Amino acid sequence: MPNKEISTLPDESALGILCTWLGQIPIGQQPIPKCKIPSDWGGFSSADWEQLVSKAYNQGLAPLMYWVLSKSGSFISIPESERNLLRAIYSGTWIKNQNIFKELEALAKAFKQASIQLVVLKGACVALTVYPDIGLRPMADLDVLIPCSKMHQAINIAKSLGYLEHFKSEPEFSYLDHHVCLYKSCIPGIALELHEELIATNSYKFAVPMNWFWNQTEPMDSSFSKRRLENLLMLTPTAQVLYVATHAMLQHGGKDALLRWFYDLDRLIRSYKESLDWNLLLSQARIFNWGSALEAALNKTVACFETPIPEQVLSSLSGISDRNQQLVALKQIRPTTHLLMERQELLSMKSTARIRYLLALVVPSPAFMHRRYQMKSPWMIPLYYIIRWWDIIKDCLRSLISIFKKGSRDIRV
Amino acid sequence: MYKLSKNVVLETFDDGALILILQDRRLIELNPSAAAIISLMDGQRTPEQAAIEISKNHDISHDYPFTQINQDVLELCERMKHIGVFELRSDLKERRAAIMTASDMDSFLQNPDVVLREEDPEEGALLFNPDNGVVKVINTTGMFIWQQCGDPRTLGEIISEVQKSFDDVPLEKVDQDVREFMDSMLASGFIGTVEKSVH
Repeated sequence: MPNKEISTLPDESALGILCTWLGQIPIGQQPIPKCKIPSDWGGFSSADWEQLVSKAYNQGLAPLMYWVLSKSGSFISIPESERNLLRAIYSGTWIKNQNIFKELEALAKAFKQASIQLVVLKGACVALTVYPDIGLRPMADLDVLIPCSKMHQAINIAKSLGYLEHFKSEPEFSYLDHHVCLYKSCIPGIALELHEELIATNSYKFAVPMNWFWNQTEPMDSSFSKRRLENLLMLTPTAQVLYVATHAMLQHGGKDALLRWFYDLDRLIRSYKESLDWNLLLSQARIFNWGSALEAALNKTVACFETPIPEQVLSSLSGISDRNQQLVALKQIRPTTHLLMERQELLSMKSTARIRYLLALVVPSPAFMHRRYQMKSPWMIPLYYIIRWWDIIKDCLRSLISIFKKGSRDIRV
Repeated sequence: MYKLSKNVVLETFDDGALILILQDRRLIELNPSAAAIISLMDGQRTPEQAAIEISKNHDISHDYPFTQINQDVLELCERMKHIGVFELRSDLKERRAAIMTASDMDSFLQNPDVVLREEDPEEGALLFNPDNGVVKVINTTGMFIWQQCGDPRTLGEIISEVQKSFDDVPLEKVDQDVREFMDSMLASGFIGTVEKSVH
């Protein structure tokens, strides 16, 4: 069997090339200028192209890669298999997003009748407002913010439209969910997340009250979409930048943050450069103790896409020290064991939630044990508790070895 | 809707299937995925319905999107038809034949839901149909024909326009190529027919 060709393109270079290409997509509906082709383009092997497409796909940037390269004047020099893959990803994203917006249209209509305000968040919002085409921003789900008092009514409306409640986490951990997940079984299926809080529930250290965000809403301008998207609100550009940055760095952690979130930030900042209120952004970040998360996200965005952020904003952020600073730094590290991952989660929580979480991990309910280990007889539950504890001890040892081996950077937190 | 031709024999195994084309005694080996698709094409399902069943009932990686499955199923069906393994269900075959023979009467028009993305000038364009998830790459000639269908045009008018623009190609070749192209565009729902109203 012939050996599979291996790409010699380092990971960092592949990501760097992607960022350079995406930086060439103009804001608004202007035509894309011819892509600046790297001098070593001709030297890319098929494996290099495969790696570039795979990286772009994993980071949620493949449709953008199609968009910029198909208009580069050199698309034909890419191996045909990768060209076809990019075409399929772009068209698949377009079709999926079109279905999501169709659902959004139905939800907006139903919520309007029930006088429920609907704030479109994350992917759906940026795809409709700051991207030049609806097929460029992949979305895992449709995220909307609902007033807390209307949540029950909103769930019932969604159910009447064919959605079923979908429990992502075990009941023991449901107090940590800051949104309700619903799923509509169609092709392709649509996941709807109804948020009553942003970033985190009150159980987390970095949770914030929602009043400020509700005051920072405005009608969504989706005029370039063909769909009749009425009664929709979005966060103001300033609030969006703060939310997107904190979502990437605190909710998910820098290590798991997809490059597409930083590209969202780049497009938001470039698209709303006139209306962004940097002073408000900085002061609110300080009030929420989100300054360190904002700083980390903006620095990464600048490093990737050369985003034009005023120098005084970055210098002002570099002096910020807040209670989430260590957590932001810790979340940049990819944990090597399950226990270290849980440690990051525990350090994100307030004391009461932490104790509750720890107890649920070490001594979960028999119902949880039954679901988790799918045992045939309930009589076997005590045995499985012993197995679970033995696994935890083993993971502890692995974690200790891992920490000693690395001279771990995160042990100080 | 496709079904197995009467001229072939299909034999399935755990790890695939074999198809024997009786007319020229050709044997075709199929992998398990192709065998699963072929077993679903019984003249009762469209390729899209088969793709839905495949995506529901088989353990398919999340990296393999439905649009890709749909595309692969459609391509397999077209290939199988081309080599004589599949035939169109007779009533549809008649309808398609009717479209081609009655095309002088009917006009062709772009499906307004279809999305077109122009690529490099040398590459042509990407067309996809959100209704059935079919994706097609068309070359510059295909793009020219597609543009002709922006307004209702008869087959004769399209052939005449293509002939004018590509005058170094023999008329018979233009006629055949345009008919084949229109046939595939109709089959994938990119183009529809507008019946001539009788007053």
